[in-house]
Amino acid sequence: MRIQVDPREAVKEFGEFSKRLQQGRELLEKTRDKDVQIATTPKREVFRQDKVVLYHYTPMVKKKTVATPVLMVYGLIGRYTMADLQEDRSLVRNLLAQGVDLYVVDWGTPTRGDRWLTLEDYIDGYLGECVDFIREKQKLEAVSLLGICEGGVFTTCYAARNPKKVKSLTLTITPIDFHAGAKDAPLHHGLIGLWARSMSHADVDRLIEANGNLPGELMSFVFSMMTPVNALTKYNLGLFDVMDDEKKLLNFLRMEKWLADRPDHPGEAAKQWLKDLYQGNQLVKGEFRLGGTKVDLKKITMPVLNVFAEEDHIIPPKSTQALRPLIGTKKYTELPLPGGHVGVFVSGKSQGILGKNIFGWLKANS
Amino acid sequence: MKSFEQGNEWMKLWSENQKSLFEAWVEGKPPPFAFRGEAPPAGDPMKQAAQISELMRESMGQWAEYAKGAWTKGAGMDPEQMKKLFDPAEWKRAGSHFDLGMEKLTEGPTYATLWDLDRKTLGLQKLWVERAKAVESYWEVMQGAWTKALERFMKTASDPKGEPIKSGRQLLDLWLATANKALLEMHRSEEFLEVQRKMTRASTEYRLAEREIAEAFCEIHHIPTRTEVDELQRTVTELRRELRALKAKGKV
Repeated sequence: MRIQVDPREAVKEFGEFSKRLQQGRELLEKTRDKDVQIATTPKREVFRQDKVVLYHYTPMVKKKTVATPVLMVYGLIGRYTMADLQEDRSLVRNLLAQGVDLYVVDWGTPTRGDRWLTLEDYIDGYLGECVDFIREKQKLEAVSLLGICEGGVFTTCYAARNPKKVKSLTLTITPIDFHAGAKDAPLHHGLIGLWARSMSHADVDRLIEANGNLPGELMSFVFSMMTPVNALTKYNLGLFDVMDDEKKLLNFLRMEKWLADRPDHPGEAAKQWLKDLYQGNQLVKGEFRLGGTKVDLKKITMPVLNVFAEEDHIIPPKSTQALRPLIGTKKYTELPLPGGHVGVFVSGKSQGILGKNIFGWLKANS
Repeated sequence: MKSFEQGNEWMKLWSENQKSLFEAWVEGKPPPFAFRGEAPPAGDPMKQAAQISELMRESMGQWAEYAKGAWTKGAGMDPEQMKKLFDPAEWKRAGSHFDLGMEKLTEGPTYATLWDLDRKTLGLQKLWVERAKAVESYWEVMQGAWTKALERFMKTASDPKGEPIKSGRQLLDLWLATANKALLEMHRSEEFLEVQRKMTRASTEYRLAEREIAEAFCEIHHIPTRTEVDELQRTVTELRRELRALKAKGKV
């Protein structure tokens, strides 16, 4: 029999459990919403169109070290606040501290009224307007783009369609080949692709027709399928493991705050995302169309930095790495980082590495 | 014909009851129950409710008898079925006599918009049943994974060759790791993906049918429907798009 629990040890374990529970309860009781703030780096609104807002971060150092401003673009699944989760885990602060002039686009919180917005509206429309605003404001020909996840696809497409307006392109955890994945990958890798491909085109259309948008709650559910036991135990066991340590507890709560803030994905854009990209894999095939014209990745001629997470269970590394042979530049750099999809941005381990490497590359290429 | 006479008699009684019920409702008085010619039950509200329920059952029993003769020859209704159809207790369940009965009633010839809302309601009932079945199938597959996890856990935990488990937490961690693997295997399986797809589709279709009925209500009450608002929003989005394009060309 493997189970050899000494009764005395069991009593001791239970005593420790009770003590921890008591400490944790006290800590949770005194924790208030104001203690769990995210995305606190100072910034000001400089441009707004519909629900989309362009923010300019307040510089943290006097000297600008990178000539071209950088526009950070997150996707519509989740929010940009992940790049600025907390003071000591913030790509935003890491870049600002090194003298990068940084902007971020906030897509807002889409409602049913935004169901007809397409990827063209986001890429050619809103993103294009933000880029043009910065170019005009700073009297520049081009800006640098930093895309994250779905935002990486937006910036990739924008760069391919407007190469003269993009000085450099930094992609992080970005899907390019939506069907890629290692055969020997762990079980929890690539489940979003499996889910998306299990539906027919009609299933997707009806889902959007019924809900108007792709509900944020549904996407949260799909994400939770990748870590099923963690999803079931994070508010008991997961919370218990950190509840007697204030720093860990606040980290946990900030992460939960970000996870809970998952907006709905505008319906028409979601159809394109699921059918054209996840199901049809059109981007890598050169068949993806925006506004009736094909997105030609060969037109990406500016320098590209492609950052991916080695343990990314949402966007497998191979999906990101597929970009190299498709683009029209030899100035292509890959940066593999330890950790998972979100971990690259929020884990203590990757903090120094991500900001430092992006800054170094931007300095040399922007 | 006898069947027509029965049908007419029933129609007459039904109309009288409806009329007196309506008048009582307008005047805020209890209904006189012309059908039986009795005074309304007085006293304890619980007793009143029970009497009303009993009265309704009896009325429907008689109604079913009349309707049996009035119905199309060869497609006669079983009085017991008809009683169940109008028994409020039956309405609580899906896939019960209520929707079967409604189906029978509404599957007759379609006369323009006659019974239209009833047909929609029946459709919704059916979709509700479909959704309930799809959810059940989904949970069956989920349950299979948990059962598999438990079997594996029992086997691993009792394997004498394995590392000894010396604390409750070690035991819990082993269980969670075992369950996680079993659930992930299930999440990747064709069987799971299919039941999940069917459940999503069934919920979607139910929601759309629900919308159809809500829109019928909106139309009656002069309220813009979801479809109309969606169309309006589409127009606004398209106009915004055109405006942006014109601005980009410097024409605005």
